[in-house]
Amino acid sequence: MISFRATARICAVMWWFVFAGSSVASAAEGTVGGYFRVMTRPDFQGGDGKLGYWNLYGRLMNEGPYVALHSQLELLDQQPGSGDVWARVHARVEGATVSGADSGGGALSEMRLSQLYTEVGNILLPDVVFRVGTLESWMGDLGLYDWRPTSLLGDTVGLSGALHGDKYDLLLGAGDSGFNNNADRYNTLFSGGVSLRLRPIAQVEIGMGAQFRYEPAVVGNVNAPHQTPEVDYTDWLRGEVVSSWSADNPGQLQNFPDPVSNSAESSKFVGYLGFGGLGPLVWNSLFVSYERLHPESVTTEVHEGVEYELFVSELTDERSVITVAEEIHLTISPNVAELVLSAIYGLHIDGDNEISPSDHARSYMSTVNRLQLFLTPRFHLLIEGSLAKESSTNGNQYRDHSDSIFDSSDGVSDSRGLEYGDASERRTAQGKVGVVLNPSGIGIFARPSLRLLYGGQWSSQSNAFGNSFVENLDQYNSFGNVERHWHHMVSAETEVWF
Amino acid sequence: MFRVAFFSLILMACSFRAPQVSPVTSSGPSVGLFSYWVDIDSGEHFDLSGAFDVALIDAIGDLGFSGVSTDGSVEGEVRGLEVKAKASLFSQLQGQFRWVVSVEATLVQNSQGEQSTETISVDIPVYLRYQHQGEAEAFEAAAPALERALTPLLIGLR
Repeated sequence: MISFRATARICAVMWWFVFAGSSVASAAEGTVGGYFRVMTRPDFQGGDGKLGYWNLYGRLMNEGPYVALHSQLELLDQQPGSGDVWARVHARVEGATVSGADSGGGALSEMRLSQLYTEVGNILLPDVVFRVGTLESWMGDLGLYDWRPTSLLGDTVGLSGALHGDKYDLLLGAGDSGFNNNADRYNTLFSGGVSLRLRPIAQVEIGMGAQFRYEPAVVGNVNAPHQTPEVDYTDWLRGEVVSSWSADNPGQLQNFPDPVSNSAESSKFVGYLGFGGLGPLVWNSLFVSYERLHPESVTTEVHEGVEYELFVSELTDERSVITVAEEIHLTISPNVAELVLSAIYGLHIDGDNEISPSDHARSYMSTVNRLQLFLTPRFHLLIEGSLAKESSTNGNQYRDHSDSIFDSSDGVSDSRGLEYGDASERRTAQGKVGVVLNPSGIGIFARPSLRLLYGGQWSSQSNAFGNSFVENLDQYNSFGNVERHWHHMVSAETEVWF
Repeated sequence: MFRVAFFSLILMACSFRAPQVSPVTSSGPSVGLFSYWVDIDSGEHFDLSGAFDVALIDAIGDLGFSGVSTDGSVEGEVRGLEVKAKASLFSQLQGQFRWVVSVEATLVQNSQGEQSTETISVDIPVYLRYQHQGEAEAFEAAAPALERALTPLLIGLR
């Protein structure tokens, strides 16, 4: 029997091929664009093909393969100046796998129909573009990080209206984020947002926006937000809520408290300042965002062979993320060299958790800088460096040594401890250098690019890259333990927008 | 040692400096060139300029002709090329903005009282890094591809 999800994927792929086929058959009606990157990075140190853990150290050599195909079908052509109604359909299929380049094997099951929407213009209101479908929108990105702090409505399927002028762009959108929030336990999650971008003069842009989500309480709906009463946070972290309750209430497990229905909210606010076109400064982008994350729904515990559901909306409703990011794009000398300087600071706050390290209670700061020298118009030298520091708010989170302790309290081995490892901070430095073939010519962001790179990483954490090392300290560990702070790699890769 | 190597690379980059775009100096038979772009929203016509126009002149020059800009239609020319272009935003895609520059180029030739025309249409996808970049940047980015796309049409010049 084929699951609903598998059926949906198959339908999506079939639909895609039909759509793409029509585009090829009639170039006047539709076009296909896209993006891909694919690489080979044999790793003689036992890694999984990435230099470090994630793109905080720069996307280059820290990301795996990726492919995206975006199709646009003109249902009604937009005739310049006519004021006639126009309509077009967009669809995007994307996924992070390419056959032979990663463990996904390029399987279609790894792909997803991530965007599908219809846009129409000149209906009801002139110059207003209505969209129904997926609503993702953002105000630029950090190119060296592959990071978009100002992304709004990326989780929302609904209706939006956009008004574009010479000096402004206004977007209003609303819909439902329920499936993106929790596909397996869908509950309506109303989502609405607005963004405004102003261009007072050609060299300056100011943007701001916000998104709000509201998940109503629905009595009787198992997927609606609930909170199980009498849950101690420490017990929850240890997976001992039911056993503790049972110890306090012997023989009364059948009376384990029922969940209480409640509602949940979350929100995001973004700001953007861009300016450029001044001497060597191509463009400067400053992004700021504050996001209150949406609470989790449910976790499970097994006690004496019975699985219990614990509803945790009130244990996870005080998580927020503050991000400040900057990117400066400079032309050092036209046709000779370009430089991009970028930095990011992130602070994750969890008001419910003051006792255990987690991804929701940490801060990080990083800078990634890339210099590209144009040796010839199509043969470039690329030099990139990054420095990063990640700090856990609630104690140790990293293992600096191959024989570091796992569970700990205040740095002391403790099998009941809620901390992990022997360090609360991870410091990472990376350097990359190599040559680039750019058939389309000069430009640090010009593509396609074919790159041959060397990358080196030093990290305070031992083996700070994806790997299959045995970390067990058991005396019967047949493979032994290796401590390594340096990681070296070469990469042959290509990146194309088309 | 590293510093010496680094500055050597910079010097190497300077010495292999990429050539600047320069006007074509072909002195062959002239081809009247009338090029403009159409605003997708208002329908207004604007003069093409910059790299896009240079690419047109280069494409003509590569075949031994000299492109001469005209202010109006190329109907009266012995040989003429009329180029109409428009640029439209396709989508945001992986951190860049995909634009499509649609070009319709018509080659007009008058010979012995007879006029022949040949038209090609081509869509050139270009990616722009920033959202504030618009039609002008899209045309500039499309210029190299345009030069190649026009060659099959211009090969028919006589």
